[in-house]
Amino acid sequence: MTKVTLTQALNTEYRDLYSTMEIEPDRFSDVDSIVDQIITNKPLYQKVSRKVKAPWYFVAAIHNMESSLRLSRHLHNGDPLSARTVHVPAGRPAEGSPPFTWEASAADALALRRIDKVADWGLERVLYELEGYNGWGYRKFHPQVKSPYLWSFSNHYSRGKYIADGTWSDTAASKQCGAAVIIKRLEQRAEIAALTGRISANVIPLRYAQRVISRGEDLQRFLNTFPGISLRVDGWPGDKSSDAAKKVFGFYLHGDPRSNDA
Amino acid sequence: MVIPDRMMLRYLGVLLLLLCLQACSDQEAPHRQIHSSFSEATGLTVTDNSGLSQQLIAESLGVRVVVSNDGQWLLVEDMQLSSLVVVRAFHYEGDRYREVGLFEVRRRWEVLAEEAGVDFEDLIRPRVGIEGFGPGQKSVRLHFRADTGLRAYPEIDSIVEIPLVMFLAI
Repeated sequence: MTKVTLTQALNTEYRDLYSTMEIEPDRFSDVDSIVDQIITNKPLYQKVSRKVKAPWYFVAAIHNMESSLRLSRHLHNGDPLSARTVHVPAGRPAEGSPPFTWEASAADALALRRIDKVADWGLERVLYELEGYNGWGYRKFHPQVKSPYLWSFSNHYSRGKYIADGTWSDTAASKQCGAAVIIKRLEQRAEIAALTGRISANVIPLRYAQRVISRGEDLQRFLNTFPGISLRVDGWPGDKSSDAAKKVFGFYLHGDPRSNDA
Repeated sequence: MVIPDRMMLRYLGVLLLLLCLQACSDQEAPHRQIHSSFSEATGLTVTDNSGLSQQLIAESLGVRVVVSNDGQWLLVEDMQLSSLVVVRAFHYEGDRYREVGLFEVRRRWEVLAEEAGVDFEDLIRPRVGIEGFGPGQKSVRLHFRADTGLRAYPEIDSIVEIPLVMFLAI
């Protein structure tokens, strides 16, 4: 499949989509359940990460997309680890003898797709490599639909996907959590460094506002580290941020018309 | 047990007839040696021992080609996305391979999805693998695998034999 080039325009698109992404509220528990399991498996992902020189969360996201986090299957195609792969791509890993460890198989699968050749792992590159790993069919043939491989369970995707017989359906909706959503949630739960900015030190204001305020983004990032909370980080601590603060602290942000101090 | 001479002759006759039919069949369908090459950039190209070269698939992440003994059939696992593998069939028609629609595959997916309690369109990561040709190379054994997203029936993993029927694709 002809590759898509990571242009400046595509960089901007990935960054904008990621920063404006919001996880669908009715999917919080599904996403957190996946993230919990990923955190448990983190030492395995770190081993593979060292072999292929890619971030551990990238390996984790691919593992969820390709195997639903099963550790008994080849990452290449879901064949059992007890032998080399039989189905496409067949005969992998080419080196070593079966049975294979999950880590050895995963490193081979990622190297087969040349992930080990990627030098820069900024946010945009992570998203580009994830989309490319799945294939460019969505972007090339159905550009009106953001790839569910990245954005499913977020505000950037609702429906449209390839179905089992290889045909396109405008009405079918992916039932699998997208890879960007997983990474966003790992970031929100402070399992990985913030990819779009960092929480700075000192005091974070617990202030309600109907505009962007200083340190508003830091407040939202902090609130995102709590279970069941996923805010868009836009520096505008309005109703949604205040609702999140109520969940965490038991009170709305200061200045919220719903609070007693307003 | 002693087999009477007349019975023995009858057996020999039948055997000769079968050998003759086999030979005729071999003449009608000479063995074709198939070489396939694939890259993501150029797709799947097959070349036979007569020099015929033909691109069968242009866009794919990966393929696995299984050829029938006589070279008349090519079955291909086509990884259209990393999370979607379909099977495609090609039959040799005089001077080239033509794609044959495997309409039974979709019906099988629908049946398997229904058994699992999920809509066909909701299957996660559907992949069809080729296990081999059936008797007489008139059918193919396919391995259907997918996740359902359901706790009660999380996975479809089933091998099904489907006929190779000659409805030519457009």
